[in-house]
Amino acid sequence: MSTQISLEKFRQIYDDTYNETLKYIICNTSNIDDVNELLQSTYVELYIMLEKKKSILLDNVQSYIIGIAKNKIKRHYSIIKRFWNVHKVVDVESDSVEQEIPDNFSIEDVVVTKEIAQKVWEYIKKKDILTTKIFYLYYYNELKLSQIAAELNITEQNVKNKLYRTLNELRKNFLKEGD
Amino acid sequence: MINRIKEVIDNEYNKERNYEEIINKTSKKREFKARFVLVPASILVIVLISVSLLLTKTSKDNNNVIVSKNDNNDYIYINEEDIQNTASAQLDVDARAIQVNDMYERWPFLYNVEVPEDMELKEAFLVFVRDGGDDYTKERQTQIVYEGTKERDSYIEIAFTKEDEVLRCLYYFTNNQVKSRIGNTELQIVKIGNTSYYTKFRYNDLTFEIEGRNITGVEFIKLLKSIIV
Repeated sequence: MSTQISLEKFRQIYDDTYNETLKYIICNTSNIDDVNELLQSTYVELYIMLEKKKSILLDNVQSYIIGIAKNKIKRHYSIIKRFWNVHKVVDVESDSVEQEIPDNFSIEDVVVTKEIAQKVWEYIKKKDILTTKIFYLYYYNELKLSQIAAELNITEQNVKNKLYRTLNELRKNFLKEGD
Repeated sequence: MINRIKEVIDNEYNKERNYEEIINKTSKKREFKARFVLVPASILVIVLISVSLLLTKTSKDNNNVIVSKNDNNDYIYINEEDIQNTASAQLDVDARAIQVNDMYERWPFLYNVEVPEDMELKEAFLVFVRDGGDDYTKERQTQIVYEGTKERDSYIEIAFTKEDEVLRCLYYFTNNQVKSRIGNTELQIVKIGNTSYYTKFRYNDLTFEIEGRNITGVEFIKLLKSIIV
């Protein structure tokens, strides 16, 4: 069913589509620090379009906004970085060493305070972009490993390896701090 | 159990803060636009005369496209497309930066390329593809990137190749788009969203694909006419 959207409804559209748009941008960005800028420029584009056209009739508002975000991402990065990402996808799949975490370990054992949680997130952001995305999808969107693998177009084993390896690192680096 | 990581991430991508920034940015864009609209009448007359040298007659047809003709019998037709109609692909290529001087030496026509005054040449690459083996040894195309001020966020990318097609991540062109003409050269010109223009054409044994973002239609056409002489 088609929906008519207009400038008056912009705030509502923003509220309704924000989470999915954020998830799309995070999953498709090459640099986690660019996410807010990409998100803002996506909705600015929508706002300007609504200002110009007064109203737009759409089959799917969320898909339309994701389409804007897709173009914003592709244009944001220079040609070198776009091609660099193509090669990087191939490298990631070769990482196949199985990792295990202790049965009684939870990330909440580490992030006992907000300050430590902030440090942990900063640590995760410094890892490769794929690990950051996995953590975002696992802890923020609360997706299962299979769902994360589908979202990022990688194997479930790869998701598990990156998640568990990083959790082990967090346990070693931060568990003492939280005690 | 409190998910503190979730709280931190929530704060990093704060919905309210982002909304405020979006509204601020839309206000700034309106002010930027207003600065160039509210000019003295005499300057406006000069601007209009200059624009008419490029596009003497413009009109909007039922499909919201811009049609114009001038004395050289050039015919500019800007097809407006929805972003949802674009297709995309991943490319297996290797892009290598080249020196600007080398670039001008190889392609002297680049000296005559006219971009808006606030823009400058930022990067130039040669794009290589595999030639049967594992290594990227075959030179496929050249890409030149111009960027403007951060405020305007303008961007021009000129890609050209001796082959029939430029390799691209995104596809904007369809067979049912109306063709334009500059001199004896046929082009397809597409506008996507508010401020993105794309064109493709073959000129002097080179196939070009050019993208202009956050530049005006007039600036885009002027750029094309500086290449197709």
